Amino acid sequence: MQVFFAIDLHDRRESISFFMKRLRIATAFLTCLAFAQAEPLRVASLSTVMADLARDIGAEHVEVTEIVKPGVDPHIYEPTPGDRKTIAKSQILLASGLGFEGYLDKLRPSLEKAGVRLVVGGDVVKPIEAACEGHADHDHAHSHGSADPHWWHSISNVQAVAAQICDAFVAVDPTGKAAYEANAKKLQNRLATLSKWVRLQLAALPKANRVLVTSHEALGYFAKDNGFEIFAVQGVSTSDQPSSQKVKRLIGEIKARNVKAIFAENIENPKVLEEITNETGAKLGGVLCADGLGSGATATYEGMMKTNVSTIVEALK
Amino acid sequence: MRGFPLLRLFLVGAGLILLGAPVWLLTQPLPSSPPPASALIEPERLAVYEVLLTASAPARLTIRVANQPSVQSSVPVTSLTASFTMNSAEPEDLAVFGNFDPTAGNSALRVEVRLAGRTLADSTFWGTGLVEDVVTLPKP
Repeated sequence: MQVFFAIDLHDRRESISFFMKRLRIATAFLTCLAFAQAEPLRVASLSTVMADLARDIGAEHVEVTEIVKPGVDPHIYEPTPGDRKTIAKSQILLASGLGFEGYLDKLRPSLEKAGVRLVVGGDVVKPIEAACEGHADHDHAHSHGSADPHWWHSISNVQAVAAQICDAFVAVDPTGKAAYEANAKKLQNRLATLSKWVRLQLAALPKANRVLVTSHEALGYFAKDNGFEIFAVQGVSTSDQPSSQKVKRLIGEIKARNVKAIFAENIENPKVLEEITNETGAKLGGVLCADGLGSGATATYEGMMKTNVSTIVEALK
Repeated sequence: MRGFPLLRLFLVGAGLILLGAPVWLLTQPLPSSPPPASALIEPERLAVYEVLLTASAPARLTIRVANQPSVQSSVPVTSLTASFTMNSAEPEDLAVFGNFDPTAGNSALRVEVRLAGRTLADSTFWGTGLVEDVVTLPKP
């Protein structure tokens, strides 16, 4: 009787274990099935850089709509009624923040109403102060806070924002957690490799030559990370207009420091810079992507950083 | 010879040129080249930085500093030493490379930088195949 009972108990244990194994397999299968059949996460982006990160992290599980497209000047961009509809239909809206999108506060109530989760990159980065000169001598019509909003020129900031986007995707779509986290990990590794590549390239550039003269004050984070001094024709926004006094001061600075090259931007008219090159003898060192991604080689974040760094090193070394 | 004054003149001239050429070459100033960056720095700010690379296995080692010739080993070695004269107020970054045999697995490259006997930087980088990184030296 005792032996029989022991055998019976053993059988029961085995059958429970068998049942649990089946249950686990079925749960995993159903999760995969649900994830495979689920509609992609709808993501709208006001930032070309964040859109690129979202595509990397979300891959086939997200549908990213770029509201502000590459090559468009985001400083003067205003969302159209069509853009507002697209944003309202999305589940997540990505924005740079730190005053880069002057219209963001106006959008907030409609986002809350439509249940759109707002992810602001500027909330997780270490902001630096915007060096907006010329408040005394121009109309301060542009909208920006005291922080420089161009945080993506620091790779460590981009790493923080990539983690933020991953967390937002997991929060809105928990079924995709494993895929989002795996993709985010791969992206973090690529960003670490990019950071080392940037340091190796810049090591060839003598410290005395690390002076960046650009159209507008957009590369402050890059300058801080890599020991550059920065001079800009305009302020932190492309809508800032340089005074003649500021241009004169800048010309004096370029001559005094024997700056080899100055840089235009992909969305700017380089006319003012051409005038400065004529006055100073510095050459136009090339075009930099300052306010977001461009096209071709600069269509991805890694491509943009590599192109910018190569252009800077080639012109200043 | 006596009957050919022109030939004598030619031979004497050729002899003078042969004798004078080395003297002329030695006394000419060297072709002008742009002064090295260190030449523009106040002499009291120049300092000699000693760099020692140590590899966990034989590798081709290279040290690069902006505006100065690279120092590299021609054959795989386990250590490489070099000295660079730089502006102590703003020393350049050092790019270091260790090209290991990829089959050697995980390899380490240690970089030690000394200034006047004092260790300024001591970092170890890990990797497989090509191990490369940048060492930023502290300002005084």
